[in-house]
Amino acid sequence: MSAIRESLLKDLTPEIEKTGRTWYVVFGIFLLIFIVGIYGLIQQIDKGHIVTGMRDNVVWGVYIVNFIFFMGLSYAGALVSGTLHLFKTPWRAPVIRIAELITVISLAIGPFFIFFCVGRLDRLPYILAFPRIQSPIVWDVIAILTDVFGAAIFLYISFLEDFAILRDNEDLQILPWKKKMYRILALGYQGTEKQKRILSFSRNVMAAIIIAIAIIVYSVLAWIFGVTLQPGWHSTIFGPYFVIAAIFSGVGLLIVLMAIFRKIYNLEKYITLKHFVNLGIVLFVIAAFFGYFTFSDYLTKWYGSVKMDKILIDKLFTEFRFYFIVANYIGILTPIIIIAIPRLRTIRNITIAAIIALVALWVNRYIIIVPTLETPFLPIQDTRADWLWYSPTWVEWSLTAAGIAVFGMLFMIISKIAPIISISEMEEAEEKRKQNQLTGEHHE
Amino acid sequence: MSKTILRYTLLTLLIGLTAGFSLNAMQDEPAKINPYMLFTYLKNTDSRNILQVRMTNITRTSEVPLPGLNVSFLNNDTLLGEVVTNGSGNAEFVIPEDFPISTGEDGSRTFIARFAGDSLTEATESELAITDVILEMVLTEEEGKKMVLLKATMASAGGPVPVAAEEISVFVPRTFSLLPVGTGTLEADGTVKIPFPDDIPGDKDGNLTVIGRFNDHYLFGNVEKREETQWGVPAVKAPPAYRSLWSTLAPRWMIITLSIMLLGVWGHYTFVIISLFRIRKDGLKHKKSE
Amino acid sequence: MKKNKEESSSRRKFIRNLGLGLGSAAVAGSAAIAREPAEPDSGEKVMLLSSDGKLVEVDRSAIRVAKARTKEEIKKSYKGLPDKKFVMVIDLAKCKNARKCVDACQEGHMLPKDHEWIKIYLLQDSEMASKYWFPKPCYHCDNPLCVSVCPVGATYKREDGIVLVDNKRCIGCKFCMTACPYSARVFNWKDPEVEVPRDHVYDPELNIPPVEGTVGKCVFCADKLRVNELPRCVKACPMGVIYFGDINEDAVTNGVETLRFSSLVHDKQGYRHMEELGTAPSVYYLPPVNRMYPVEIGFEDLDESISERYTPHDVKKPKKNDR
Repeated sequence: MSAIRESLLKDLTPEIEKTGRTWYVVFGIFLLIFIVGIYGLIQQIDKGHIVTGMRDNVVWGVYIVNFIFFMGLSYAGALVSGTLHLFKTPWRAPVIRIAELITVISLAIGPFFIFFCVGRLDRLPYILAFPRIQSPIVWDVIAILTDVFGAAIFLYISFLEDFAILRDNEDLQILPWKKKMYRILALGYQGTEKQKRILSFSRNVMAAIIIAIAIIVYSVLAWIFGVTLQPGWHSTIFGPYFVIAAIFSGVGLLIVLMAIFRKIYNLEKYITLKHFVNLGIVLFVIAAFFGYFTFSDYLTKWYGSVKMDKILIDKLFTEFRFYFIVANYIGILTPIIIIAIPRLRTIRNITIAAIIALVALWVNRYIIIVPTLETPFLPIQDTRADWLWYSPTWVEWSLTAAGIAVFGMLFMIISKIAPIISISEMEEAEEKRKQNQLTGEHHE
Repeated sequence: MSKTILRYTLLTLLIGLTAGFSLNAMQDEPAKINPYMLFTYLKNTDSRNILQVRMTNITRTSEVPLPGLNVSFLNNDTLLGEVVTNGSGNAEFVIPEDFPISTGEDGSRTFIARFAGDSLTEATESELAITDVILEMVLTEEEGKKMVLLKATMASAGGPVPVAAEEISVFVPRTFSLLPVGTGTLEADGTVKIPFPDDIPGDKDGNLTVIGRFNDHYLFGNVEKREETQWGVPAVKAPPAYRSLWSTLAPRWMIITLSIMLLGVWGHYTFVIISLFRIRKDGLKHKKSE
Repeated sequence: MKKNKEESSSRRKFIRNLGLGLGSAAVAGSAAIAREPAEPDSGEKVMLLSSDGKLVEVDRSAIRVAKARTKEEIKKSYKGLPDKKFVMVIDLAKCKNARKCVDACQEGHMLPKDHEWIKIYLLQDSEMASKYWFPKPCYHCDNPLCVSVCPVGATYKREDGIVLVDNKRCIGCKFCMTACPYSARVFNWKDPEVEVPRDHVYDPELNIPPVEGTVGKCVFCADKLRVNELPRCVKACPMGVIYFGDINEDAVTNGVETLRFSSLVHDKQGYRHMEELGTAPSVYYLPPVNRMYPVEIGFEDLDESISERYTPHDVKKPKKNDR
């Protein structure tokens, strides 16, 4: 067994073997939040959607914001992991497992927020029974199904070698059902030449496809808004804009989760400052692009004199002023500044930059959706405050929290089944490094 | 003394209870509907006299038809017949051809529609004084222009007399109402020529019905003559979109693009899954050989 | 009393949410027995919840009859009236916000008071121009964005131009509401708690009762059009503001006077609202010139909860939560 494998197994297997009390406590807290969310959902099903803050004009609120946000997080695995894999970036090894997990889990959670927003949950199968392919929602359903399936295959391929390693590991003190599970999931992988070749090729194919699918999925999502005529939505930049925002949020979450796992599993040896800085630079570049797209979108709206655009911009600069500053100034400039200045590049600062970016992106989605719906072509003439202005209720917030809780719970469960750092990838990276060293020495 | 008090108490109680009951009864009794009766006379193209009644209840928000009400039609005091209003509140009575309608000295006939009232609805009645008129219509074309010739004569003490200086119009029946297409005033000889426009849409062959009609006339009521002719413009209906964004069938390019993309992506997935099975097969082979 | 209603309401919801779909069949089912058993009794009995919360035993064949009749009605509503294309003309010069159209529509379609399928706005095109009352039903566009974006085909455009909503198929995703630029659609956010007659079979043309979690909108009273009667708002307007007719016949009427559609739109410069959006509405407006009444008349005798709508509110949300 190679040195790196031994060291990794020593550090990671304790988590798979036994569960500490902290794990149960944290899981319990998540579960509690989840139950509160379910209670909110039951209220909504029982009393109708009137318990949310949505009314006849702002018909899409926090649920759709969460949906777009979670789908955007999925870019961590899709674009980051896929691209890093195709470019054979050497430092990718410790982080891609986390990235791919983010993709699958956020793709699993995201669609639930659409279900919450739909008025008749009992009729949801109608989308599959009577689909109209002229509808962007049907495009979205097809795209997401394809994306989930592809991400799952991609994740499984990356897990395969690790399952084989765990299966072969005699010292593992685990329950027999887990051992059996590893054996089945390892698919008889022995590490033969042929198997390695097939696996590597499949991995490359999936990485390429996943990147393409991810871009299509998010563009389709953007076009749900783009094809309507509403002021603020009918923008040609929406497709690329949403894609860039998604990469931004994916990288941000990856950095945050890297920091968390590094702390709780003591992985300082493997996930180092270098990883944070490298991903931080990616964050920096994407933040710059994102800022450019945002500026471009708002500049053209503000400069032109179209009445509806002007009403919308006025609303953004007055009623949503605070949100606008958080999303488009703080959210873009803070990561850029922190990462641009070398002295500020510490793990803690970069993680803070990533957290700010995530929050800012959520707010950014909010100010894309809600102000437009509050300024329809025919002005809302009503006396009730909740029909004029949207304010989310506890039901919507509780379900948002439940979504985040489920995210946490799923990650915690997965970490009990498989190592959070890809052992096989680390081995491969180590081998490559040694080879380069040898060839380098040889050349000298 | 006590006997008097007892008597008076009993009396007061009795009065009080009766008053209470009657008050109660008055409160329980719902207010009767005050119906609105629209009574019109029509002499149709076959010269039949038709009496029409529409009974409705006008509420704050709408006009609700009153079905099932028994309406009697009378000519002066002679009962002509009874009709029950239908679901739309309409009751129509066609006076038999040979019925001797009593005419007054000035040539007018009095018709009365009466509703006697029932437990829910108040009684009401309405009266019309109609002078009989004979209307004739001829459709001609003069110098390429379509013309409607109308002639009206009415009965009077000294025999039939041409109707002069009265307004008469030409209509075309449409889905919900009659469309007026021309108006004229009858000259001294009781005739008038009203031009008919060239661009009125008819059915797909250009047929339509031309109606010459006294519409809601103060003397004659409604009197009309109808004739079907090919004076309309053939209606050409725009074909509905067979494949579009909003039709049931999607545009072809959408279906093709979607199929190509799905086949491409899921084809790759299938390839990868097959590869996984190949890995397994290879693993089993190696295991066996060990 | 209230508890019973809540109980029966939650029981109704329970059955509905289980997706059995028998709730509606129960109403029709119990009535199908009363009316005419088209099929012989199969002998198999089923327990159903009737619309007044009671458990009734119904023969299984009766449910099939009721379901079949609902399906028939929906299928019939897909076929429009042949060779017709309906159009509406609204004369803004005559409207004085009497709101009789709103009342008649709400009554005819059993709508709750805060659902308006025809809304009356107070618009002002530019600062120097005057304000005017603007009744706005659904425009039944010839290029309907709402139909294009519906994922399940619950809303559809017929040959006679009318756009309907099938409340038995609508999943309540509200995409059509965001797509419509004219805010023509309303959503049933809660149970409207409306009692329908016992033998009522659902049909999208009359579209009663409103169904919780689905979308509703003006349907040009398609049920009335089938019997050659004018829509309810047209008949109810005391000023004769709304004209309705068949564009193929080139005639529109407001119940009192009938005019040629082409001459009306030509002589009075009829226009369609926001024509540049390209949705091709079927509702034309006649500009508010030579007004019959000054705008202020529209505020007379108006309930305060309605007249306050038209006072311009602040762009900023109010500080305290007054809901």
